[in-house]
Formats: sequence, structure tokens, C-alpha cells
Amino acid sequence: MLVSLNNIIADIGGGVIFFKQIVWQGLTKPCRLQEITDQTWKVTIQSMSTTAMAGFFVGGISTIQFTMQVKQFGALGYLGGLATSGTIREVGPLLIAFMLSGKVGAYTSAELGTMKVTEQIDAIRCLGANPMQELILPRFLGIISSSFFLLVAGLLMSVLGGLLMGIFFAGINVHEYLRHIPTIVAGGSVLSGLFKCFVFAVVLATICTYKGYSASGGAKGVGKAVVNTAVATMVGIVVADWLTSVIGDSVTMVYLGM
Amino acid sequence: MSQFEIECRGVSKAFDDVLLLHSIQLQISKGETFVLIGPSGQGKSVFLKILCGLMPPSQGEVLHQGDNLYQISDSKRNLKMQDIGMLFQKNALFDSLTCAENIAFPLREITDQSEAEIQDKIGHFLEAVELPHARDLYPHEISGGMQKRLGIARALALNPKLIFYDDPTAGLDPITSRTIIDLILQLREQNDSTVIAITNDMGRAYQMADRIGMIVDRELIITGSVADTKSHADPRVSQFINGDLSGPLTEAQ
Ligand SMILES: Nc1ncnc2c1ncn2[C@@H]1O[C@H](COP(=O)(O)OP(=O)(O)O)[C@@H](O)[C@H]1O
Ligand SMILES: [Mg+2]
Repeated sequence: MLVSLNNIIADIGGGVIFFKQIVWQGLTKPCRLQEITDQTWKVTIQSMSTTAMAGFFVGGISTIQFTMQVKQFGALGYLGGLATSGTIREVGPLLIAFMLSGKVGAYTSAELGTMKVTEQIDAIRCLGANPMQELILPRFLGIISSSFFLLVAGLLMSVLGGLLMGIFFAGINVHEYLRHIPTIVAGGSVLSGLFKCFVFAVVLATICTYKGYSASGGAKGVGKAVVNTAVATMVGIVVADWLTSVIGDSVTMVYLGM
Repeated sequence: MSQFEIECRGVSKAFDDVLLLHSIQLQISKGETFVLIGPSGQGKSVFLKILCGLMPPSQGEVLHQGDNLYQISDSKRNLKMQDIGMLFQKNALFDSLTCAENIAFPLREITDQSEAEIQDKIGHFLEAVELPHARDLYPHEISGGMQKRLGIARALALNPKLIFYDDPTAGLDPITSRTIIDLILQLREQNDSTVIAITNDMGRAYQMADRIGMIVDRELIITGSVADTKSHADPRVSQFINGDLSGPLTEAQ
């Protein structure tokens, strides 16, 4: 028990130090822009269809849930606004992060882990190149920037999914569904969603590059790195969600003078 | 400034408190070819990695042209690494890149050469290791001997002054082994480089070496020139080079 607690703390510490190194690398000797765009393109293409599909269904689900609630108060007119706001603020970013964690997180840590255990990373160092700059930084930034594109795609699909459910399940028309979206979904919701998405992407990108880069011990070591990535990113994202919610709320309170 | 290309002072290495190498001293001069031999699992590969800057020793110092490799700044060490070529025991080729791209990698990342110059160099090195036909194949699509040769070409792409070969002939047939050693020697002449190589093929060791050293029982026995090695007094050395079944190396300890 104590040993595993110790390991967890050491792991978190290692991840934080790794994050610091990535940031330092980015500030001192960044990689080429083209490498980032290549990675962004790769990740976005890889995950676009799953994210879009999941976004569509999540939008539909939240509309169904809200329908039951707002019906009691005879406020069906607010259905579109409420469901969309919930998706943009919370469910959307969380969903994208989980999608990315399953696909891109696992892929990245397996790829880097394999390069590590087959000494390809040592080979890069031996050629006088810097693996942080050549491998880690482009992947890290690629995951973060692609998460924005995926977020936008996923959210658009979720609005569409919600709209269809509003029509078929709640029985309201398009105009009614869309009418209150602009009034309820304020700039704050969008900013909050974007901010969360950014934080989740940073958590995910740090964990999967860190786990892959520190893999050791052959195929088994790579397998372990991938499993650890999956577990750590899920936990990390949920914790980050809680933290950003708490912080977001306090900021809003102060802002509104309450 | 040290007159030695590489100097090792009291280098020890332990993994999880198990001592693998103990207080090793070694000096290698410019232009020398030093061959490491020894039973497997005794730490030859680990020692090579310590020498080339990939693995810090638990104790002691490694100096390259007088600079402590593990204490200079990262950027200075990166510069030094550009002067080092390494062939890994398992080649460590970039498996997502074609043969040509493997050779191009250091040229693209490190140098500012134009695309035409890089293509030129790729052609030259593929020619030198007799792999022009494999240009667009991936490492897993070529044979073990070809992978070794590609590994050598990649290691030499930056014209390094200091070259490390970890078992360049392991698992290869005698003729391919010979071709690879000939290639190594020919490239050494061309570049006037310092070479440190691991091999357990004594014929190839004699073919290459100016000096030979054997890693056994946590220490490095520098056995000297080929002739000195053949007549070395230590029973472990004579047992190893003759491949005797009985002797101090095979006795239960
Ligand atoms: N990164 C490492 N972590 C732990 N032990 C290692 C590591 N690298 C090598 N070893 C151990 O060091 C010993 C020597 O390995 P190696 O240098 O590959 O031997 P050789 O090349 O002489 O056959 C082996 O027993 C191996 O288990
Ligand atoms: Mg070895």
C-alpha cells in the first residue's frame, strides 16, 4: 500500500518534471512548424470520425435528458439552449479528451515506447539530435492543437444530434430549438469549454509522451506503458475536470461580485 | 587538454545495486582501433554506451578530448555527439523510415545541406554499403546483414571522427561478416577515424584491432596487440580466445 502510494507520487513528480522539460524545450529550441502541422493533421484525421459520431450521440442524449427535466416546468422552449450549453461547457470537452486518450494517447505511448525499447531514441541522441525536440515536442503540440479542431467538429455534431432529438423526441421545431441557444450559450460557456479542452489536452499529451518516453524492458515494457497511459490519462482528465470546474466557479463568483 | 581521444577514469556501473563494471581505466588515442571482447552478459554493450555518452556511469569519468562527457552542458554534448557514430547491437534503425530516409535523417536534422546535396549523400552511402537497390524499402523488408550495413551507413552519414560498433557481425554468415569488416576498415582509412568495436568473432577482432581488451568479472583486461593477446598470460583470456570448454570462465563460482 505504502509502496504503491510512493510509486504514484513518484510518477506524478516524474510527469510534472517531464512537462517542465517540454515547456522549456518549446521556449528555448522549438521544433519546426511543419512537424507540428504534420502531427496535428495526423491526429485530427485519425480521430475525426469517432469524435464526430460520439459528439452526435452525446448531443442527442443530453437533449433527451433535458427534455424530461424542462417538461415538468413547461419550459420546452429553453431545451435547445440548456442542452447545448451543457454540452459545450462540460460534456463536449470531456468526451473529446476521452476519445483522444483512447486513440491518440495509446498510439503515441506505444509508438514512443517502441522507439525507446528498440534504442531508436538512443540512436537519435547518438546522431547529435535532440529527441525532446524531434519527437516529443511535435507530438505534444500536435495533440493539443488537434484537440481544438476535434472539439469544434464534435460540438457542431452534438448540436446537430441534439437538434434532431429535439425534433423527434421532444417534438419541437427547429426554430424553437435554436432560438434560445444564443441567449443561454454565452461567450463564457464557449470560453469555459475551450479552456477545459486545452487543460485536458495538456494533461493527456504530457502523460502519453512521458509514459512512452520512459518505457523500458522490451515488448512487455511497451504494453505496460500503454496500459498505464490509459489509466493515468482517464484519472488525470477527471481530476483536471474537477479542478477546472472549481476554479472556473470561483472566478465566475468573483467576476459577478458574489 | 588531454592527448587522448577518449579517457575513462575509474568508471563503475551498477544496476539496482548489482555491480556490473568496476573501476575501469582506459585510454584511447586518436586513430586507434580498439576491440572489446568478452563473454556475453558481462557488460560490453553497457560499457560502449557509457563511452559514447548514452549512459552515465554510476561512478567515474568519461572524457572526450579532455572534456567530461557527462558534465558539460547539453548543447555542448549534442555537438560532441554529432562527431560520434554508433552502430547498435540490434541496429536501432528508424522503422517508420525507408533506408534512404534513415541515412537522410541525421543530414536533415543536423546539417543545413540542400535537398540536392542530401540526395547525393544518400546515393553515395547506399553505394558504399552496397544497398542502392534497397533505397525505398523499409528496414523490416531487408535481411539482417543488409540492416547492419544500413546501420553502418547511418552511423557514418555525418562523417564522425569517433565510431562505435556494437557487434557488427553478430548473426551473420562468415562471408557477409568479412565484407562488413572490410567495409569498416575501408571507411576508417577514408575518414581517419577512431574506432571502438565489440565482437566475439576472434578472426574479425584480429583483422581490425590495434589493441584488444576483454571485459570479464567486472573488469577490463587490456590484453594489448593481436600478438600480445594471443600469448596473454591470463587463463581467462586464453580460454576465451581458444573457446575451451574447461577453464576459469566456465567453472562455477
Ligand atoms: N538498462 C539496464 N537496466 C538493467 N540492467 C541492464 C541494463 N542494460 C544492461 N543490463 C544488464 O547488464 C548486463 C550486461 O549487459 P550487456 O552490456 O548487454 O552485455 P554484453 O553486451 O556483454 O553481452 C546484463 O545482465 C543486463 O541484464
Ligand atoms: Mg552486447
